Amino acid sequence: MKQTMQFTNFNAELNTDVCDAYNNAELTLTLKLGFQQINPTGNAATGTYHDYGDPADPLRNIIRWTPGAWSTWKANFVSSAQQFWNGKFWLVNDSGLFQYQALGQTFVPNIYCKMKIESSDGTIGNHHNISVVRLASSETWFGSHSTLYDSRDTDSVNKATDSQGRAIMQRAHVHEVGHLLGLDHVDVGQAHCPASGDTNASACYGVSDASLNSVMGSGMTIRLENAAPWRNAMRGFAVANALQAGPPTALNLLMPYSRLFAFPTHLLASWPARLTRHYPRTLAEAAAGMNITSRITRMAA
Amino acid sequence: MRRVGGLAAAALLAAAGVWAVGAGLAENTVASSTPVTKECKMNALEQSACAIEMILQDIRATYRLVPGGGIGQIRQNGTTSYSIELLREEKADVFTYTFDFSDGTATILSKVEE
Repeated sequence: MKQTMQFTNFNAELNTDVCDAYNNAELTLTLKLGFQQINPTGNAATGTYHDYGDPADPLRNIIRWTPGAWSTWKANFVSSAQQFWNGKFWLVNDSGLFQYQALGQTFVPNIYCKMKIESSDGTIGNHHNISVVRLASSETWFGSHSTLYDSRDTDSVNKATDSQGRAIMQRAHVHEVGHLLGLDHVDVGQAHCPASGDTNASACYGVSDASLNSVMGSGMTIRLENAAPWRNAMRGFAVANALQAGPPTALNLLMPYSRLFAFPTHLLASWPARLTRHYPRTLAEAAAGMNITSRITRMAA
Repeated sequence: MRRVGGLAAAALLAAAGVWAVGAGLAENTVASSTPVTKECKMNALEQSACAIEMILQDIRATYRLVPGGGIGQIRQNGTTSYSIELLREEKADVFTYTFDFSDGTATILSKVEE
């Protein structure tokens, strides 16, 4: 069965059709991005544009997009961002939901987390719209932000220095896609970066080497907390399934939300994230709290 | 311009105390590990140059991010206040330093990230 839900930042699809003795359910988050070109004014071949799109900030030299350069840039953006975020997390099913039969046994699937980007040149129906300048070859940098990119934002760039003086590299667009999924900077919520303050302050990108190296800091390392968008989506599916569970009794018809109290594990499940593959478990394995992290041969019951 | 010499050591220690007090007062004050006192000739040009050199020295020592756009501007906000703007992805970081210029010495009293 495939179920879909729409969230503010993305659409989510939960696919349990792929479940068998070895394969989990798949949760795919889809970002719909609209890309718009920023070209030199007056249809000129060259021009200038301000950092951050703010007239108070420095000007950088830009050139007009060609159809070929535009499609190549978009394809590279989409494929590399998808490659970075897709298939990195597994969520452990601590709800008992979505059980299925395979090899004569009942299995509880974990969740394999996938990510897809759909790009268009339009501005309607997207989760996010992003404008893009094409930098002249003389330029090495442009002040971009979450909705204003430059053509070099897919390059790997030195973003910070660790405590040993080593360069920390990052491809800006994977960090920005993290924001588009709903992730905040790595140290938001810590004393040096309160959530109520400026969450773009320099300290929010991390003060320890580990934080600086994370993708929501200045590096490229994925951390467990980066699975938050998928975990939030699964909480949504769990609530939806709890509301649909059970026969349509008179109580359910009169008080539909009463079903939530009948299935508290659906609501209390936290869907903990893992960075390694966790195979589906039998009911007994799940009840015992076992995690299956290597492929074992399943026999028909 | 002369460097801080041995005679300035006591002043440096005192300034460190001033720094510590200042650091506790400002909500967004950022820690610094670099010297916060520098002996300067005190005509206006040398005073400004001294403050700017101290700011650059502090940024080099404490700012862990690498701003791809470099320094956007260094600006005198008032007689004892200077700001530096660092252009990086997502936003420009602005740090404002407050100085004390007296007795031929420049001392950083506070450093606040805006």
